[in-house]
Amino acid sequence: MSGISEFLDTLLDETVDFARDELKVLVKEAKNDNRVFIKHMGDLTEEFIKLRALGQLTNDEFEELMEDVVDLNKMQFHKLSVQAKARAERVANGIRDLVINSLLSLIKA
Amino acid sequence: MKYIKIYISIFMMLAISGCVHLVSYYDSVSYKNLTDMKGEMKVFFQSCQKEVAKGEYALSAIDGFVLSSAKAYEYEKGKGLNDDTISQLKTLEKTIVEVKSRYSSNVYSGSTCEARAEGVAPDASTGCLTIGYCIAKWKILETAFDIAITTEQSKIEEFK
Repeated sequence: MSGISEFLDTLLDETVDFARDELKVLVKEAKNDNRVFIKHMGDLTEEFIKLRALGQLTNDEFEELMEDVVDLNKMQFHKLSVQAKARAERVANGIRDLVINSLLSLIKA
Repeated sequence: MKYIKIYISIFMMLAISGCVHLVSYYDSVSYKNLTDMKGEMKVFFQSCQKEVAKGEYALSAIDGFVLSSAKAYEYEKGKGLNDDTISQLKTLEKTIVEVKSRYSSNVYSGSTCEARAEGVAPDASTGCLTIGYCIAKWKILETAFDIAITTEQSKIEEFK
C-alpha cells in the first residue's frame, strides 16, 4: 500500500458511492501546498486514513483524530495570511465534509 | 465629547509609539509551561508508540498531563489581552482530556488493547492506549504544542 487510492480501496467496497476523486484531490493539493501548515494538514489526513486502512485505528479513534486536525486549523488560524486562511478553511471544510461526515459512515466496521 | 476626542488622540499616540499593547507581553512562565508539557508528553508518547500504554503508571502520567494542561489554561485565562493564547490552550486541554477518555474507554485484556463493550469503565486503571492511537495522537499534540509555543515566541518579536 502506498497512496491514498490504495487506502480507500482497502476501506471501501468498489460499489460504495463515495467522492473518492474529490478526497484524493483535496489531500493531493493540500500536500503540494507551499504553505507548511496546509501541507501538514494534508499529510496528517493521509497518514490517519492509512493507519485506519491498516487497522491500527478504530473508526472512533479515526473520527477523534480527524476532528483534532480541524481543531489545529482553529489554533493556527490567526497566524495565517488572508490568502492562507481561505485555503486552510477550504481544506478543513473538505476534511469535515468528505472524511468526518461521509467516509466514516461508509467505512467497513 | 471634546474629552473623548482628546482621550482617543492620546491613546492613538501611545499605541503608535508602542506604549499601549493590544496583546499580552511575552511571558517566560507561559513558554516554560508549554515546553515542559511538550517534553513530558513526548517521552510518554514515544514509549507508547512501541508498546501499549497500560496500568497505573500510564494512568498516573495521563492524569498528570490533564492537570498540567488545566493549570496552564487557567494561568493564561488570568492574563488580559490574551484571547489567542487562551483559545489555543483551551484546544490543547481538550485534546489532552481526550487521551484520558480514550484510555478509560479501552480495556487491556490478555495482550491486546480494545474498546470496552460497556463504554467508559469506572475503574480506569484497567484501561490502555493502542500503538496506532499513540502514533497518531502524538502527531496532533506535537503540532498543537508547536503552534502555541511559536505564538508565545512571536510576542518577543512583537515587542522588540
